[in-house]
Amino acid sequence: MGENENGTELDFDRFQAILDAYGASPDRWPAEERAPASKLLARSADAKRIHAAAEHLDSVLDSAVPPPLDAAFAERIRGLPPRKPEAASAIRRSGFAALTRIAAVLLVGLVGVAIGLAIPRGSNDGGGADLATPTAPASAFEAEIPVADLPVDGFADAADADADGTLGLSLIDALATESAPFAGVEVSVADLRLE
Amino acid sequence: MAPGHADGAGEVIDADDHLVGRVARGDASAWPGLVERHLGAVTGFAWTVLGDRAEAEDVAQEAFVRLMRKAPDWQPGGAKLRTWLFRVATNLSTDRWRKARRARPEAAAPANLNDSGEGDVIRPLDQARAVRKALRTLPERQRVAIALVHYRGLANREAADILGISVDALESLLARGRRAIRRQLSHLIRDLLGES
Repeated sequence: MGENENGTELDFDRFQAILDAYGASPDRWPAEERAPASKLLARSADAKRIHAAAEHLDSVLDSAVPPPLDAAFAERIRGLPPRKPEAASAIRRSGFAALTRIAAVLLVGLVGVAIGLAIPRGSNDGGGADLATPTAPASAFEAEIPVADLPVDGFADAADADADGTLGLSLIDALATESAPFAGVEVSVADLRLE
Repeated sequence: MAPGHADGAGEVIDADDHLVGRVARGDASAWPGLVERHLGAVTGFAWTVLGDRAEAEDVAQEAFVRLMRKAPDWQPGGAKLRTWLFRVATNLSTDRWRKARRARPEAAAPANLNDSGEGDVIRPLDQARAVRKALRTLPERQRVAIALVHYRGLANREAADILGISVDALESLLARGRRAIRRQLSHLIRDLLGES
């Protein structure tokens, strides 16, 4: 028998159990049993015999070591931080944001319709204005809504505006152009691929 | 030394805490240091468990994305970062393995690994392939245990912690896994010994 660091002896059965679980390399053996196991191995022929069998299995297992890390993959992971939040989480969340925007546009439209209906056609409050002359659009549906005029905070930004400064919202546009409206979200495109 | 065996674990842990703290404060220059320290081990571990490079890289990438996301919540001096990463990779790999098994049950079916004819010369590539096949036939926790201890060189307590089991239970998983592989690869071992 060998002794561990506490002076406890290591019997043959325990030595066999260590080899069965951890194999032949002392590096893998439990730290507190490494010394007594090595002592037992040094002086017992039976221990040497079963140790040799464990070595053979280790050798076979070692033939399947993982391949080296792919350099391009490592570079991709090293480059994760600069990509910031704009991709995955933002895109997921922007689905909700886009729907909210659409709802806002519809609400503005409905208000416009209501206003349009509330104003009597042919009103001449202007004092003799020519009814045949177009003045203001009858409803918001006929107007181009400047982005800056939208009454919903946080939804309208430059990314949502078309080149002419009017709102040309579609769900797909919104999904494609959303740019990290939620502070502290640290997710990359990988989320989309992996979830 | 066992593959992937980590020396100076205390220093590694302190350095990890420092680097994660910097990442949490928005210091992007600390990130490559974390990647250098752990990406190879996590990817290699997932490769052993899943047997597929692309799958392993997906698992490792997801683990690192989660690390980046969780960095502000990291508690220095608590759990080892490496333990946390391997635990995440274990869960992700297990999920993927189960999904793949549901989609293609034959992928996890025991292979006939003793089919080389008598006198056949077993080349190293064949041997590696046979070992990978044998690993795939193991129950997932046995495979994870062997991947952590044999291939990554983790100490028994850390591996048991990752699996959420006692050291005794870990030893049981390891012993059963190794015994099954020895049984399946008996022809390779005989070949190694020069026996017919």
